[in-house]
Amino acid sequence: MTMRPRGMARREVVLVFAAAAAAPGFFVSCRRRFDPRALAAALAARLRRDDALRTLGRAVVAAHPDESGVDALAERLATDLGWTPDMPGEEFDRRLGERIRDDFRHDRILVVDSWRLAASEARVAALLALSSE
Amino acid sequence: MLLDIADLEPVATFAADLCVVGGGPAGLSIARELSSSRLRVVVLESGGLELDGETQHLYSGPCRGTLLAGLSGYLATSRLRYLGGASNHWQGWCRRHDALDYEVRDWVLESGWPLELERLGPYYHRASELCRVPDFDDHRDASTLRAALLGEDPDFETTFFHMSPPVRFGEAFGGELAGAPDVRVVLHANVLDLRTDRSRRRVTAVDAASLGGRRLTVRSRGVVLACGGIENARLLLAAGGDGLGLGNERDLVGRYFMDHPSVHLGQLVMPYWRHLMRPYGYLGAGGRRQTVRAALRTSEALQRRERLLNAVFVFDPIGAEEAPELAPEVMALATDVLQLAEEHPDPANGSNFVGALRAEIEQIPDPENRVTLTDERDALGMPRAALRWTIGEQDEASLQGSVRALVRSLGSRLRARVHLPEEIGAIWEASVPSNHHMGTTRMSTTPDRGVVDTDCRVHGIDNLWIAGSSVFPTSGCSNPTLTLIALALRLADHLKELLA
Repeated sequence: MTMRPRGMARREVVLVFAAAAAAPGFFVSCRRRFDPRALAAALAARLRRDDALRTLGRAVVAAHPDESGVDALAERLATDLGWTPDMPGEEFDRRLGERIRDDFRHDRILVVDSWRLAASEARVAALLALSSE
Repeated sequence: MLLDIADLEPVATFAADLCVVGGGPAGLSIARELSSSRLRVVVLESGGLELDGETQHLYSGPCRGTLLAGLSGYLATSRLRYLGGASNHWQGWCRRHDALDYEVRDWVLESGWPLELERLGPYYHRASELCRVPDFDDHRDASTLRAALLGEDPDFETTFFHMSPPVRFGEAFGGELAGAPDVRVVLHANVLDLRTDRSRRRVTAVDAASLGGRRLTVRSRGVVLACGGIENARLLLAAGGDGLGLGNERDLVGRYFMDHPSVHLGQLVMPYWRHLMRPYGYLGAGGRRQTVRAALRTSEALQRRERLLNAVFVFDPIGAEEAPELAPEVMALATDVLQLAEEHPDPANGSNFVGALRAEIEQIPDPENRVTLTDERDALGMPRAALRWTIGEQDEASLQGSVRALVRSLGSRLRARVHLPEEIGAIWEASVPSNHHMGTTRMSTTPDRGVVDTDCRVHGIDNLWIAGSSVFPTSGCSNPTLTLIALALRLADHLKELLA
């Protein structure tokens, strides 16, 4: 089921998204409405073992240089999780857990020093590592 | 009666109803079954009551293949040539074959047993008694024992191996056979030839000799070869000394050799789930040896959907010093994820598990994997056996598919993170054969597809039967001992009726 703003007909939603998609930079501008470090901070607050995760994150970045930009990582995670800065912590936990399960379910795996990690959890570790530098 | 060929006349002849060649689990199971039948049985055992280097060397021969690069002595060491045979180094793992193993699978060359699993049921029951394990049918009995590692995952099922003490068949049943008036077990009697009548449809005599030069001929109404997947093929190929062999009109004897690659895949970390792993580990509480060991097997649904071969995964706890780099960090990540997903069972009781991950896998029956004869002769003048045994592309692809599915199932349930070499070559380098010699005299309904019929009789020969895992058309992923004993007991019943 597609979520849509209250009072808007299905056809209007389609038109708005079609117009927005046609406008260059729409999705980028949507995603950049937050500070990437805010997501990193939210992650650090939810995850207890952030020191170990940062160590792992550095290995993720070394193994996957394409996963090395703070902005790109944060945008990717925010998109995948549907994250917004005002998202309640429990909801964030639920979505991250579900996304990681889903990554495994659909073979979205990143190999890091021979460890098979869910792509999202590897990105979480990488973001924590990079944002603390 | 227990005899040594050294104590017989220099050239002796025995008459019997049945001559059984080989005193391992299959041969002794048959002899024991027939010991109360009033049939006269002679068992010819190459070795004595303990290991002897010179006798053992009769097994030696060249071998090559994926897992054999560093194992030039594979043929000489993967079997033991004395009373009790391979049971003398058996680890005791017992498990029935799976129902799908018996089926024709369109993705597995030459698959399908010409037997129904149900027909083996009563023999599995008797084989379990001999092996001193519970009569346990995974599919019938396991539902209440299912460990929760993956719960009702559609791609994997928890399955169980029952651990025999293990029974050493020579020690366990040698005394009983020594006291049986109609059974003669002859030690140090190596079979040199199977003589036939002119039509080659009937074996008339079995010629044996000792390394010391004594000779024994057994004239019997029937002969059973029960000396393992290499030697059964070797004796058939060498019989007659004319290069034609016996039962080999279609050049199938020795082909389709299979073993279970024991694949050392890597390691895994599991936060909080150690209690779930208890049945999967080797040692019970207080270091006691377990009698049941759980494993994860690829489900029928997964095998059918992804056209995979059968595979079973086992786990062994390892110490922190054996864990790969980043194991603590990956454990930390997995723990955090588990906690935020509110999945951990009970942090007060749960503890972490770090383990080695191993798989026993089925491989396709490949006619190019085979036992042949060499020009070199052993101390008795018999041509030595040679073995070619490689892992094929389909075997490799199947392993990769099974492992991918395991990573998927363990990960999506937030149970574990797995550490695996990135190159499959590294996995094979760390892997070893299981010493399960199968397939070289495979069972088939017609002679163009195999060597023995559904009664284990060699196609085209009226009175020659084969016992042991060499008759398996496919290997499944279970250790073969329980099934080969079940088949041997079935053969014993058949012979009892036929020769009575």
